[in-house]
Amino acid sequence: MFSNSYTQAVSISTDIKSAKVCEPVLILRGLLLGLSLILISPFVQAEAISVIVSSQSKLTPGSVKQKDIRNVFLRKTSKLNGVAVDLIAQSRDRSITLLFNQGVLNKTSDQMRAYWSRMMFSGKASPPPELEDDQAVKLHVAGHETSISYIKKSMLDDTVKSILDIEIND
Amino acid sequence: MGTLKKITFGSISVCMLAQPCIADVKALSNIKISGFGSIVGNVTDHEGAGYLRHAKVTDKPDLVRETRVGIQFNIPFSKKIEFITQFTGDHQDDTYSVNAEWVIGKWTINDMFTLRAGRMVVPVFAQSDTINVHYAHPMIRNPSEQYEMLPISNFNGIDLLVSIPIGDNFLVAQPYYGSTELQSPFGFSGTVTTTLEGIYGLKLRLETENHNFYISFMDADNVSMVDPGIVTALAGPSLEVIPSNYLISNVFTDVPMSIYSLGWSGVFGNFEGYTEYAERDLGVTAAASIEAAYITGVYNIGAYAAYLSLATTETTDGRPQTQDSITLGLRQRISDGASLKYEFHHAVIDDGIPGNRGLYSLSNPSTADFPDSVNMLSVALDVTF
Repeated sequence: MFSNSYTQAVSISTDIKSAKVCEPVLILRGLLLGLSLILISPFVQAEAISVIVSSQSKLTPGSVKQKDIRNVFLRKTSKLNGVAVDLIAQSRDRSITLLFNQGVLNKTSDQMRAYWSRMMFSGKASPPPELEDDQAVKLHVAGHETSISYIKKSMLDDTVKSILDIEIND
Repeated sequence: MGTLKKITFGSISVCMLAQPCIADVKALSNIKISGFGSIVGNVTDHEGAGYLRHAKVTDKPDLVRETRVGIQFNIPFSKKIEFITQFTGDHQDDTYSVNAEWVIGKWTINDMFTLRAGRMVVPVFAQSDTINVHYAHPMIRNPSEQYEMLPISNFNGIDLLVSIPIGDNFLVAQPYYGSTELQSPFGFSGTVTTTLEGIYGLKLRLETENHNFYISFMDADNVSMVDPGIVTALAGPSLEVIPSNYLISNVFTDVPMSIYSLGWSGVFGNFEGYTEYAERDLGVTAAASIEAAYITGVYNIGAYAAYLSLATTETTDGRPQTQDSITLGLRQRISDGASLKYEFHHAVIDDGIPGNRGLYSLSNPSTADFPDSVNMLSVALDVTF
């Protein structure tokens, strides 16, 4: 959605430039499209999520890829770059969790629930423990060297370390 | 009960044996309790034999015929050692029962190896592990044409989960070994005892981001199915009222059995697909070879998922019979962890020997009337917590 809007904006800009030497109707068309873009822009947003660890963690910013985060949060592995991690999730009904599940784990909330049902009731793995919100997660991760979780990028501060920032279209 | 005690003792022993390897042993303060449940109502359009061996659905509507609840306790001793037990309560065929479906000790040796011992589900098909957890699957029940091929659900033994990373994907190998004894398997009531000894098998599963592929085999050296009632009938005057195929196929001892299967499941945006093929070979002439396959498509639209499934089963030796079915349904998400399902199922039965056709119950073969086709409507409420 975000990238589509970007393409649309470039296209409008091109239209406006060419309008200087072409038909006045193109100017009008460009203005109308520009106005439309301004009107819909509040609904076209990308949310940035930060995957965080304790500032004491051996994991360093940029050292992991999104697929590594996916594998660890689906409990296919318990280590990132050889470092053992303990998962912490946010409440399943929070928008950031829905976004994280969709954008990073590539699963809808229904698919996540079904996935954990299959893992849990076949004795293979349990879903990660949940904390209420960004603040609670930050507090927990800051105090536990092996913990890993996710928060809104805008909530980052010095108490935790981001090892991967992921921009997800809302 | 004695067997269950042995299993519990065995699975706890695994935990105790592994305990010295672990430094950070915790108290039992982190017991996790979770559960699942299904209430299934259904009705067929045929007055006569019960349809589906495990449920015996008739033309009399019943809102709790396939009701099942399960509760699971996960008791972690440490990060690597866990004791898991799962009890299920069933209401099927007008009877209530409570079973210990899973009683295992689990030792996660490292990221690659996990050892489990105790009572566990036979992982022969793609969804066997969670066949009781209807919420985990798009349909009300996994296609019976294939999933009723194995008349048992769990065994007592040991398995090893080996997870091997291959690039961005994982290959999971699951070898297992054990045995089991079950009273009244699918379609039988009262006295039938099924025993499988020397069960061993291997399941290989390739897990990619959006697709899963698996291939598996299971072999049992000695399979016995004994019905004292039928044995008595062999020597008595009631012999003539019991169809000969029932006697041949269902009273046997120490015959080998093997099951081969393979399958795929995948997600393409809003679309999900599932397909499996399986073949069972049993050392009994009357039912030597059974094949089954199905394909299911699911389309997700917001809180709804529409699904269509085609399934078939065919016995090729001894007692030729074929069943083809089409299932059309809608799953509605009503809250986090709860869904309603509405389903229409139409099955056509060909080439069957009267008295034992398709997936009809065999409990009263002498008096049952077996039709050539059946329509079944089902509604289910599935939850997990």
